Amino acid sequence: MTERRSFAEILDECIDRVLTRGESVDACVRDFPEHADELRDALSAGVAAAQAFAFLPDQDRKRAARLRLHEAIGRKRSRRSWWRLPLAGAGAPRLATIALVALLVVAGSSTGTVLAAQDSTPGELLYPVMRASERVQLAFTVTDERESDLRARLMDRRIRELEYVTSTGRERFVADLVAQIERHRARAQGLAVGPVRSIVEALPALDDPQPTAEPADARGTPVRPGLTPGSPSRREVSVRRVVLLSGLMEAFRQRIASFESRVGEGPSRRGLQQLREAMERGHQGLEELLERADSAYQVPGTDARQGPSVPDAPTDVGTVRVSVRIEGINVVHDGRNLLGVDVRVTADEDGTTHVAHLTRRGTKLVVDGRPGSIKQLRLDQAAVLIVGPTGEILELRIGQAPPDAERVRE
Amino acid sequence: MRPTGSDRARPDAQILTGLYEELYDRIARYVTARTGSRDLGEDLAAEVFVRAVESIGSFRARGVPIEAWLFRIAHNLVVDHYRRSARRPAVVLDDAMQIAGSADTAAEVEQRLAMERVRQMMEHLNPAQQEVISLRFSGELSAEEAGAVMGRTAGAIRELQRTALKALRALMGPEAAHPGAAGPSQDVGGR
Repeated sequence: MTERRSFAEILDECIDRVLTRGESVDACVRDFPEHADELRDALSAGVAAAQAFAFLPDQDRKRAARLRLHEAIGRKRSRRSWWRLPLAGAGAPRLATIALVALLVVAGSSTGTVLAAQDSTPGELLYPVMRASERVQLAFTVTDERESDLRARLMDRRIRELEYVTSTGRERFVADLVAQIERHRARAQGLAVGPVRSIVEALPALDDPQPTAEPADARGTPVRPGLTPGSPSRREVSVRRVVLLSGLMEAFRQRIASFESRVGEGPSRRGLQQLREAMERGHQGLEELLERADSAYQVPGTDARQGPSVPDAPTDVGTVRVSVRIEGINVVHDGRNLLGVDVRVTADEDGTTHVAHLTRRGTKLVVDGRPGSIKQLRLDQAAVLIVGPTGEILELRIGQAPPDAERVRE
Repeated sequence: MRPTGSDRARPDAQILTGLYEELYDRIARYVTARTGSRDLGEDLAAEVFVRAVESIGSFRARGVPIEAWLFRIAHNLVVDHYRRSARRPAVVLDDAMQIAGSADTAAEVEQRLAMERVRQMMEHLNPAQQEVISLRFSGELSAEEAGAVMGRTAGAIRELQRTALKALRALMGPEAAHPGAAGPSQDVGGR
């Protein structure tokens, strides 16, 4: 019995060597001469079985099978929405819904629910969860630029919802969506134009080098003089943001116009008309600002498109300092290795919470101007966050007097 | 893409999409070995992944390797197929019958004939022996993975494959050529 089991194991090893590693039957048989005949017989039968069914499936059928798989995944996702029960009345379960949303969002233990809610549409049970999670996102944006970008995305989401409700006769949701879109538009525009307006108003104090412009960016949007992919300066990023926002508003204006015919005369249509006009005004305002910015970028006697390339922006260009207080310190590990430390801080200015990830490639800890140790971190300690141009937290500085509570551009 | 261990513990749609690329061919060959029909093999291989998407929740609860789980689904589809066929015998256009009218190359015709010969021999094995040969040599599963499919230990699988190969070799008769120095064809390997 022992010998048989032993042979079974030897055979199994040889099967793996022949099938997986491509060794010959003879090579394996040579290693086990005491079982040579039995091994050769068994392996020859196994190889014959493997070769008999070793066909390459038809590629068209395989593609069709892949399509079926994707369709099944799509069905599964839509079926997951068993909770997509339209609310019986606009106000009826409102308190219960708000309580549910508060519970889900505040408890912070419902990432899955919030993710599931991302596909929600107005009137569905989890739609308020999605809106609440958006508010949380907005509250956590670190910079004006990030907030502007997020609001542009939310505007796009609301526009798609507007398309949905107007195409399915759910006019009761139009007013809320119109108000939301207008709020995001006004705020996004206000945040985006600030830096560009300061460029225009700072004329002629132009110290930015003139970059080499590309004919168009990745979206095909004509790139204005002074804009280039690569290592854009803070100023270029600001202008580019306004360019995109302006284009978005024009696109939204056209889409809103197409929704107007879907709703009957009444408040909904008037709301859509007003929103369309607001988009139009916003677009025009941004275009005028961009024209002025274009002029500001022109250096007499220099064609911006043939100017010198932009050097890498120094790390302190466009950074923002935020006075904060350390609220929590969490060590991050994978069970064996220390991966880093997450420091939760609260901004003195507006009470927003941020998390600095102190890892090898993440946020640097600086104490008294030198690289610091996590042992020097204390709860309720005053600190300064150095936030990069795209919102990333570059440094957490402690051990020095914090600057004014206001955000200061360095 | 071969999923990581943690991926295998909790598959999602994305993981199944990745596994599809890796396992579709092997499952199609396994089902073909079990049924003798390449058409059925490819049909059921497609069905395996659809079933997997629909019942991913049950996988999470069981905690078996995901490959083994997919092959279990394939096994059950084969069993269902045989049950349906037994209740409602249908005229099946066998692969072998299609050869005459197809534009296949000579090599492919030979391949199909070899498939038919081996399939006929395998029908003389008991169901467990057929299963282990199909899982190991067509599904390209390891003894451990085959054990997870069949609900047996790896040791039991090794013993089962030993008796199965011995029986198959006997059925092939003395004229069966030894593969000798040549390993299996390119299509066989690749696990």
